[in-house]
Amino acid sequence: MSRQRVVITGLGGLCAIGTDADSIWQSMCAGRCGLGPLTIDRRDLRTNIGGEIGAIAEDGIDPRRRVTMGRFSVLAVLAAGEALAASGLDLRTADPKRIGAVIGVAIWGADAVDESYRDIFLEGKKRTNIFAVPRAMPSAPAGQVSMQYGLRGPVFGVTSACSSSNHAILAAIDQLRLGRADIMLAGGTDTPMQYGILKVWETLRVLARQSCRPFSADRDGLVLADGAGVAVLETWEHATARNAPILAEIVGCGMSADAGDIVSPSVEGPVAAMQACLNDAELPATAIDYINAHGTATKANDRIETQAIRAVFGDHADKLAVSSTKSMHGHCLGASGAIELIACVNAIRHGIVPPTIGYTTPDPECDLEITANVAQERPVNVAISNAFAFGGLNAVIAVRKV
Amino acid sequence: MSETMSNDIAARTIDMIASRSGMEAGKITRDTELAEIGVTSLELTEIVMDLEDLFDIQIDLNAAEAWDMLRNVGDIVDAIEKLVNARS
Repeated sequence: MSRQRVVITGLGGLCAIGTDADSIWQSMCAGRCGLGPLTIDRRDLRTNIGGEIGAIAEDGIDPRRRVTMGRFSVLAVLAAGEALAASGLDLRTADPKRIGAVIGVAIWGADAVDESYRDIFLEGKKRTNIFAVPRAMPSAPAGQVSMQYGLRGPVFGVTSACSSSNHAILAAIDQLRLGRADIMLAGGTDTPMQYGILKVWETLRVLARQSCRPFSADRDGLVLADGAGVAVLETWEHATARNAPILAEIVGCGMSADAGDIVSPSVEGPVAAMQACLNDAELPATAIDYINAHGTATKANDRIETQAIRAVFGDHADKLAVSSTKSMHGHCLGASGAIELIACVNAIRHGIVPPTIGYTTPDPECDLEITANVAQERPVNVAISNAFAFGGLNAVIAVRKV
Repeated sequence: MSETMSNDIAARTIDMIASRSGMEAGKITRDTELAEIGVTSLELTEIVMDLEDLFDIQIDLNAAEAWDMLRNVGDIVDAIEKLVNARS
C-alpha cells in the first residue's frame, strides 16, 4: 500500500539562542551559547545556569486571551504562527477541518503552578489565579494553537518527557498518513526556567555546574532551558498542489520503550528506535549523514547513546557527523525535538552541520565523530534526530533533502 | 577527630544505608560494595542527601560522580569524615 509522503513546509521556534527559526539556525552556525546565569528569583537554588528567552516585546496575542495562557502556551502560539507564515498557507481559504496540531509538553505550565504555590502558601491568599488550570494544563498549548489559528482538525497534546516533541511529530505524521488531515502543526514547548522546576531537577543531581558539554570527557550534566518549536507538516500532494515551500521530507520515524528503569537509559531501547526509524524510511544505515544526538551531557546518556549509535550504524558510525545542539540552546525538555528539527532541516538545506560547543576533551566512551565547537560544511542528504526520555521512551525522526 | 567520633560516623552511615537497602546493619561493613547490596545510582543519590542532612554537610557530587567515586561503604564514610573534619 502506498502511503502519504510527509513534507515540512514551515518552521518556527524560540529558545535561548533566538526568537525565530532563522535566528536559531544562525546562532547554531556561529556556535553561539545561549546558556548563562539565571535572572529569575533563585531563592535557595544552588544552580545558576539555564537557557532563558527573555521578554518578548510584541507577541500579537489578544490580551484577553493571553491572561488565560501559561508562558509555554504563549511560546507555542508564537512558534506556530512563525511556522504557518513561513509555509505561506492562507488560512482564510484552507479547510480548517483538514488542519490539526499536536504539541508535546514534558512538564506543565510551570509558571502558573509556581505562582499558585506562592499565592497560597507564601502570601496566604484564599484562592489561586482564576486561570491557574487553563494556564497549567499540559494540553493547553495544543488548544491555544488551535484557537489562535482556527484549526479544527485533530488537535491534542502528547507527553513523553524529553521525547515529547518527537512523539508529537510522529503522532502528527500518523494523522497525515491515515488521511485524517492534510496539514498538521507539530512540535513542543516547555518553560522549566521556574524555581520549582529547577529545584526538583537540582535534587536529581543531573544538572551541570557551569556549562553543557555533550560527549566531552569533562561533561557534568545537562542545562535546562525554555523553548518552543513548531513545524508545519503537510502531505506531499497538498504541499505541491499549492506550490508550498518544501523545506525537507520526513521520510521515517521510529519509537520504542526500554521497559527498564524510570531514569537510567538502556542501550537496547535507543537501538530499537533508531532501527525502527530506518526501517520506516526504508533506508540503510549508510544513508545517514548526520545525527542530531539526544546528547544531554549527562554521563549516562552520552555513553549509552554512543553505544546505541555504534550498534545500529556499525562502521558507518565513524563516517557520519554527530552533534548535540543542546550545548547551545540547552535542554528544552518537551521542546527539544522541535528545536533540533530546525537544526536537521537546515543542515540538509545548507550543507552545514551545527557544532557541539564546549567540547574540550575526547571521551573514549563517546568515540563518535563529534562535530566539535565549530560548524562544519558537509553535504547532508539525510539526518536523524534522536530523543531518548526518562521512562525509557524513545522517538527518532529521519529527515531527507527534497 | 577522635576514634569514637569516627566510629560513630561509620555506624550512623551504615545504619542509614541499611535502612535504605533493606539489608541488616550487622551485615554491612566498610568493604561492602553498594552494587552488591542492590543500591542503584538514584538510591545512592538519596542516601547521599540523607547523610548530608544527618551530618549537616554538603557532598558536592552529581549523581554520576557519586556513583563513580563512592563504590563501597568505606568510600562514603571517608567522604563524610573529610567534610565533617573540614567543618570542625
